[in-house]
This record gives sequence, C-alpha cells and structure tokens, in this order.
Amino acid sequence: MRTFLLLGLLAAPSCAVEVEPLLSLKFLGGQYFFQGQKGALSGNVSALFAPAVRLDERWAVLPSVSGSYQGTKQVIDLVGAGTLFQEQMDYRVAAKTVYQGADSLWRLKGGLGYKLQLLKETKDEDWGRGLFDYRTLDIGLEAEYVYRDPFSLRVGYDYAWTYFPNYDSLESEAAFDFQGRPLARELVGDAVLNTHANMLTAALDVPLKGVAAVQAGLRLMQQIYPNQPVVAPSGQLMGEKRTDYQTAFDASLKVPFAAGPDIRIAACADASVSNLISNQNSYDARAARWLDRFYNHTQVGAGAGLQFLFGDERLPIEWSLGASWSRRSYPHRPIQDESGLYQDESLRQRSWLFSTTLKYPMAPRFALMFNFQHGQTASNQGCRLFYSAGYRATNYLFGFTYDY
Amino acid sequence: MRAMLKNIIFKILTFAVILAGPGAFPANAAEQAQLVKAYGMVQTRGPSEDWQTVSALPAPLAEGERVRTGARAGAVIVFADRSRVELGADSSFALEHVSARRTAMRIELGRLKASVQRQLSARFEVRTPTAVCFVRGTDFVVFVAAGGRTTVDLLRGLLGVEDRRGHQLLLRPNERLRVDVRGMGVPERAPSAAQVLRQDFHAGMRREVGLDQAKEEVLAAAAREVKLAEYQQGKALIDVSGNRVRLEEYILRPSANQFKFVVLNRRESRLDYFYYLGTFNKALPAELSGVLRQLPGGVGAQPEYYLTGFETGRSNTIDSMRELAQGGHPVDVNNNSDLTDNVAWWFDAGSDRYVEVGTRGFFQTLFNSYGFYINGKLKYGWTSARDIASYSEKINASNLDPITGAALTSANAWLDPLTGQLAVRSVNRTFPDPGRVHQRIYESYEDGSFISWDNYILDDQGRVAAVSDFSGLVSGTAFKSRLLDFNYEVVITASEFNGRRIDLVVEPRILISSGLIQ
Repeated sequence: MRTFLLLGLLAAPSCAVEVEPLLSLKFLGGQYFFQGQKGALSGNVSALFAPAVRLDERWAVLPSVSGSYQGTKQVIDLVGAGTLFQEQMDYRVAAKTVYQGADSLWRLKGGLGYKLQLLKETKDEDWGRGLFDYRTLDIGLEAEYVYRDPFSLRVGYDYAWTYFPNYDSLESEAAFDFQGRPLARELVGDAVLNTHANMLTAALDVPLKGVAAVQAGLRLMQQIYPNQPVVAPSGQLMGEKRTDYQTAFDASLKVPFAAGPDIRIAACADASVSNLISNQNSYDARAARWLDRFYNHTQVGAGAGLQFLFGDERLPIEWSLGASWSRRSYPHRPIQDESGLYQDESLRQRSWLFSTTLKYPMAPRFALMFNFQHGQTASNQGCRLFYSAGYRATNYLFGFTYDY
Repeated sequence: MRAMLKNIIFKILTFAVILAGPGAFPANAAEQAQLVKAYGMVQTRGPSEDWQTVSALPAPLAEGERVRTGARAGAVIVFADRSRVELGADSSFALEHVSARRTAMRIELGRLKASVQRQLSARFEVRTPTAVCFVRGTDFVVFVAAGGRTTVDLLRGLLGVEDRRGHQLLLRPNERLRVDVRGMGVPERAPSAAQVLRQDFHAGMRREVGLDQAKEEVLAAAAREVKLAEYQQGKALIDVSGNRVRLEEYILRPSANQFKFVVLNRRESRLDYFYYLGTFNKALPAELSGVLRQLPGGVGAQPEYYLTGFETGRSNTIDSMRELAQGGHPVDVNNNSDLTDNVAWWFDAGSDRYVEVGTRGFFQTLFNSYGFYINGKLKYGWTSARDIASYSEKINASNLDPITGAALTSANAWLDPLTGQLAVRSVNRTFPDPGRVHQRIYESYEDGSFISWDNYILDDQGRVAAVSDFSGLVSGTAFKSRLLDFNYEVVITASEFNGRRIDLVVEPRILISSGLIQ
C-alpha cells in the first residue's frame, strides 16, 4: 500500500498540489433507558478531519483521522444491552488514493486504515483494559465504473485483521490445576476472537426514470479464526480452525419529490438478507450437549424512512423518520426453556427500531440536532441465564453538528 | 443613491433586451439551427416522429424538434448568427421557435451553456420550467434540476431573467441566480471555474469518506457479532459489584470412565476455578447427556452408570478446596434401615424437574469414604468399615485420613491443637440480607476455625435476586428447583485462607443434578 501511495505521489506532475479540508463535528448529550431504568446524562462527541489532496487531474489522496467518545449508550448497541453503563472511544486513521484517468469512466482506489476501539462496560474496566477492546487493520482496493455520474458500479476487495488484545481464553491461562493435573483441553487456543477477514463487495446505483434511485449491494466475507479450534461432538477440540462465510445482499429505493414550494420529501425503503455459515460447533458443558453448526444463521430485514426538507434549499430544516425490522434465525441452535432444558424448536430473534432526527440549521454547515431512538427485541429463547434477548431500550441525543 | 441609479439602468436594459426588435437573419429557417456535434447517446424527435439517434452531422433542427442526451453525452447546436448552445449530459431540450427576429428554446432538465452573439435586433430566449432568460450578447449556463429548480450562471454580457410570477431581474457578469416554483432568489456571486472544480472535488472526497465509513461499519458489525456470541453463551457476565466476570465451562475426558467438568472465572486481578471429576463404574459413551441424567439415581432399579468416586476442586490459584469420595455403590435408600434418607422427590434430569418417587425404591450412590481438604490438608472426612447401606453408618475421621488411611499429623491435616485430632464441626444456615437471596452456610469447628459459604442468586444483569423472586421458596426442594432459573455465585472464606477468598460463578444445574447441592 505504501508503494501504491508512493507511486501515486511520484506519478503526480509538478503542478500545484491543492488541499481541500473536510471536517465533521458532533457534540451531543443524552440519556439511555433500558426496561424502565435510566442511565446518567452523558455526552457523545465525534470528529473527523480529512485534508483531501488533489495531486493533479488524475490523482487524489485522502488521509483522514477520526475519533469519537460515546458516553450515552445507543439502542443499536444491542450487545450487553442489560447494562446502563457503557463508555466507548473509537479512533481511526486512514489513507486512500483515488485515480481517474482523463476522460475515463473508471476510478481506481486503494486504502489503508487502522482503528482502535476502547470499551468500558463495567466498573472495573479502565480505558485500554476493556475485555472487548479491539483493533482493526484493513487494506482494500476498489474499482468504480461511473457510468452516469453520480451513478456507478463498484467492486472491491478488502482484507481486515481484527484482534482483541485483552481477550485470551481462560482455558489457555489455566493449563493445570492445583494438583498439577491438566485443567485445559488439548489444542486449546488463546486469542480465540481474533480474525482475518477477506471481503468481496459489489454495489450498484441505478436511476429509475429520473424520479427514483435504486442502490443494491452484495458482500461476501470469509472470516478465519486462526486460534479457535473447532469443537468435536465429544466436547474436545479438533485441529481444524473455525471459518465463517457470510453472504449479504441489500437493496434500497429512494424517491425524492416536492410536496410544495417549501417542502421536499425523500421517501426510502430498504431490504436486506444475510446468511452465515460456520464450521464451528458449540458444547454446552452443563447439559453435556453438542450443538452442531451453532453459529449458522439467516437474517432478513426491511425498513422505511421519510426525510423532509423545509424552507430554503441551501439551509433547510431536516426532519427524518425511520423504522426497521429484522428477524434472525439460527436453524441449528435449539432453544431452551426457562430452566435451561433444550427444546425441539430452533432459535429466532426479532428486533424493531424506530428513530427520528431533527436538524435545524443555525448557519451554513452548522445545525442543532435532536435524535430519538427506540428499539425492541424479542426471542423464543426461554432461558435467560446470561443474556436476555427480549427487552426495550430507548435513547435520546441533543446537540449540534458541523460539516464542511 | 448610486445603487438605486444602477438598478434603474439595469431595469431599463432588461426591458430593452426583452423588447428588442428583429434583426437581419437568413430567410431559410431550416438552416438557422443545426446540430453540429454530438457525443454519447444523443437523440432527436420531430413533432410527430419517434426518437431517433443522431447518425449524421450536421443535422438541421426544425421548430418543435426536441433533443435529449444520455449519461456522459453532449451536443452542440449552432445558429445562423453564430450563437451556440451546448447541452450537457442527461439533458432534455426543445427548439420552440427560430427566426430572424426571435430564437426560443426550452430546457426541461439538465445543463445548457449558451454563447449568444450580440444582435440588437434579435431576441434569444431560454425557458425552463420555472424561469425565462432573455439574452443579448451573452455567455451563460443554465442548469435545471428535478422539480424545475433552475440555476443560471452568467459568464459574460447581460441577461434578463423572469420567473413564473412575472418578476424580472437583470443579471450581471459572474452572477448566479436560483429560480424555482416560488420565484427567483437574490443574485449571488457565481463560482469561478476553479471554485467549481474545487467544489466538485470536495463533494467527491466527501463521498469517498462516506464509502469508507460504510465499509468500516461492516467491519465493526463483525466485531460486535463476535462479542454478541460471547454474551449469548454466558462467557461474559457482570457480578454483584458491577464488575466483569468471565466464565468458561467445558468437559475433559481424562480416561474412558471419567469426565471432568471445569468452570473458570476470571476477574480483573484474579482467576478462580472449579472442577468436578466423576469416575464411573464403566466406560462412558461419547454422548454424556444420558449419563448425567443418571447421576441423581434411579427409580426402581439401579442406574446403568453410577459413580464409584468423585472429586471436586475449588481454587483461587493460591488457596484450594478439594473433596474426594471413594467406594461409590448404588443403594436402595428407600428400602434400607435408615428412614431418614428416603427419597420422596427425585430430580429428573431428563425433564429438569422434580418428580414424586412415591413408594418405589430409589437407588442412590453412597460413598464409603469422603475427605475434604483445604490447601492440601484434611479438614473433615468420614469413612466406613464396609459398603455402607446408609450414611448413618459413616464414621467421622479423627486421626486417620479416610482416603489414604495415613495417620493424621499437622503436615497433612488441620488438627485441633487441644486434642491433636480433627476438630468437630457444626453447620448453620442463615439468610443474612433481608429482602435478598443471599444464603450463608457457616461451618464452625471446635478449634475456632470456620468455613463460610456465601451463596448469591443473580439475575441476568448481575444483581442479587430479591426474596420476592423466591416467594415461599426460600428453602427445600422448591428452592433448589427455582435455583435452576438463575445464576449462582458462591464466595468462600475460611480461616485457613488468611483473608483471601474463592469466588465462583457457577450455574447450579450441574451442582444440583450431581447432588453437590443437598
């Protein structure tokens, strides 16, 4: 990638380099509610700075740095939703090169990024010591065919290495008991959550008779867990490592229209389907039961939204409404009743999300923003020993945004 | 005053432009407008014809004829007076009128750039759905978006613009005017070519940032999914103090007739673990669930699989507690001489429920010897001289290790200094926190030492359950049955631990089904 960037720089003629800064800021405060309990008032802050460099007519380089702090948990943070307390920080640095030949319809892009996420979910986790802190190093290539600007076809390949520096399997840390006898299984892995991901993507934007636009995307992702051995029917570990394959397809339709001289509306609808196939199984040691193809699942989702723009088109008041629904099925994961006894039925989960956002312009690029989200989940899982898949959560955020 | 004067002059000029008379144009109308250049998909259509792709140039354009361009396409139209109109991509254009006195055209959508030659006697009009531009000796660009929203950039000369409400305005060079169905806005400075280029670059790069963020979100979702699976499998919990607890449970198979159930707990600064090693009367199958269902015993007949011994261990990696039992054999406890050990209710692991035994026999595994060790030294135990038929026959250990038979010394046992033997223990069960399900089992020994087992029942958010969750079920069989619905944390302190503790989160089913919770 470095070579790619260097070649890009060397290929640039000696004409003046132009730098165009991009900046986004958000300062929001709000609260999170879970099953009637409320979290403390807190704030969410995010910033992105990207000094885009135009090297010449063909080459551009886009370095970027972004950071965010999230003190108010959001409804979409479904993981561990039972905790009111959660703080999260994300930092990312990235660079991207874009090449477009003279009079060419093709854009070629190469990118490299590094992301750090720090997560405090409990009182005893300090910044940098969160169990689920992770880092991601990603590199990607993309070719875009702009057949009718801004409509295009994009195909890309990305590789990502995600690792959780604070997560090792306990089993790997406890090799022997106090008698000096084995406490861990043979072949046990340590950093079992780390993954190598290979991702192929294709996306297409299509105009529909000048009155609507359709976007469709297909993603194929392979995730390799190099330290996670596959669980055998006996509950012991095998030499084979876990590999997941995910296929995802999504499509959306957007129809903009004017409802009057001062009201413009964009209606959108989207649908998605994804499927994950894994060679990993699970073993419920409490019930001494082997759970074949434990992670396999299929998810379907649909959503609809309306965006209203009121007043001057250069400084409109924006109000958006959105609702979405999704259902995930684990065909090989049996549910358990309240006492943990396995049933014949397989696990299904459903979720609904409603959100609304109001942006009121105060000046060019500067707006006040109010956001409200409400989510519900439900499941046919009766056993809630460790994780409840049925709950309601709400959050609101209020503050301002700046975009240049 | 000066501004007012300029305004008046511009208004006069505007009307002069609009009201200007005819000039000297060629008489042949067909030659007055010609399509001279086309690239990409360019089509024309006469008033009563179908759309036809332009195949030969130059192509004359007649009144009423329409031109449309496709993606990345364009066309150039020239007029007899050498005025020139360039159509951009995705544009829809119509030539409404062409004569020596007046040239009128309409653009419904897209981009049009006009270079109009100075002809004092000719009128040149460009109409959009929301505006009309009256031109004389001018270079300008018209862009029409959806809904007829029109943007007019004047590059050179003068340009009169009228909206649908009849408002008129004279644009000056390098001015931009936006017109929509509500009328016209206020003229503003039009961006230079360099500025337009910069704006396009800015928008393009903003789009690239958005695409990057979308890709990053896919990778973040994959990381969230990994975390979600850990939560769903109970490998990450939050304890009574709001701190992180990690939990892993698995099975080991040390030999053909054994299985070992292991529970590991990890906190910020400590690791606690528990194991249960069962040794059976015969080799075990690969599928253990059927074997585990037989652990509590059998109704009417002895189970096929029964324990001949078991061992448990608990440790915080410094301190340890170990139980050993040997000589296991099945006994019909409902038909032995001891009426106190009769089983009226039996935990059926197959249905995970307690069921009534009634008058049937019940075969339970009794062990001939038992030893309880703290930090490697015997604390308590018992033995028997033969295969016992009832635990009433057991003999508490005092000076011999019940497992090894070795004589007890201060090196291998916690002896009462006063007697030189194992201290006699007594057990007391209490619920010290009113309103909370917190049970304390306190073993006190005559030498003054103690072991305290604080059992907490946790809900799925790590909080101690309320007594109301167990209304009327605070002890006995019903309590144990209700326990199955919750998570279970035990905090063990002992005088031998020197202030340390063993702190374990264990799901209680394995303890109940194996008889470890009595």
